[in-house]
Amino acid sequence: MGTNVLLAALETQAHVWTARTDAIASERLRAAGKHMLNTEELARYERFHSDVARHDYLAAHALLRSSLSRYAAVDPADWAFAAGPYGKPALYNDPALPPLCFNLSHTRNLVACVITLDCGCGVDVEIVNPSRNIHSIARMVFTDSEIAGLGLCSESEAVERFFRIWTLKEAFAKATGEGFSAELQRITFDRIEETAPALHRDCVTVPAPCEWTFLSSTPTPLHRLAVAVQARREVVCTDITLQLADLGFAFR
Amino acid sequence: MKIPSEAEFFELIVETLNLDADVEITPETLLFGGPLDLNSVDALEIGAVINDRYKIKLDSKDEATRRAFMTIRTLHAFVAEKMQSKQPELSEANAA
Repeated sequence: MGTNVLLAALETQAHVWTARTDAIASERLRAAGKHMLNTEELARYERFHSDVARHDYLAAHALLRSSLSRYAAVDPADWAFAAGPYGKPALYNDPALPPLCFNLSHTRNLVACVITLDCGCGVDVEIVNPSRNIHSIARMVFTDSEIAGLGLCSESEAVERFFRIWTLKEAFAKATGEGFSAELQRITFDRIEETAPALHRDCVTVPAPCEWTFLSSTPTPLHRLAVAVQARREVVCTDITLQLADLGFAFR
Repeated sequence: MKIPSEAEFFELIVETLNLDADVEITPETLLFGGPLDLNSVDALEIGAVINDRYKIKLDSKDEATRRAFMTIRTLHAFVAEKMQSKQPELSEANAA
């Protein structure tokens, strides 16, 4: 799909680009993606001790830059970033470019970025790890009803449910930019089992819950993904679409 | 409850994080923004184990708590101070 068509689609959509990081060899990713990084990103990349961490970080930032370049005639290496409110990464304000907003997330073997047109957005991906101490973590950031809901499940169901809820909360916190400052114990959702959950009407800490659109999905059998988008204009984001990006293809 | 030594605390946190074998970590390693690739769930895991083991509830919205998460050393000092302020008689027991 051409740049203008994709950009026009953002009028009513948010796009989520995902990629499997185990689908591209480290040498190839380094050769094609390392040059995209700016000085700060390169320094961060070099600080990682682990080859896996470096690979995932590079994949995430290469995905972000190459995805942004689908919406504007900008070379992936030329995107400039700045810190927004709460230090949330944002595009450097350039009036010549469309007002794209983005958020990025990565976990073992999967990276994802969400792109919108002038709408706050957040994305979270997690590998569904049954060895996580989900009940103890839930007591810190889940509501009483969410904690109780975990207790009613089998252990395997509880793990799945935990990551469904956690990724939604994290995507929301990243969309607002508040991160760990968000009152996650007061944020809860309806239709948790569905692809398009919604903020519960009793979320009194959220000024306009109807402005928010969510996506919850299983991009691979081992991962959970959630996206949160807040409309800033009269048109509410009606659709969040998942696009699979082939990191190898992006570098041809 | 006995305040843990830095070594005991370090061992607990490293075990909790379940890092890959090729990852090196010391009490002074930056937990976030440094050589490790930890995420928010890892931070919650750390908070959860501290809560469960030492009965110290960490408030993620508190600036001092966020600063404490810089390294395992700073986190240990923070937790030890919290434990000491909860049970002042511990300072005599630990000094003995």
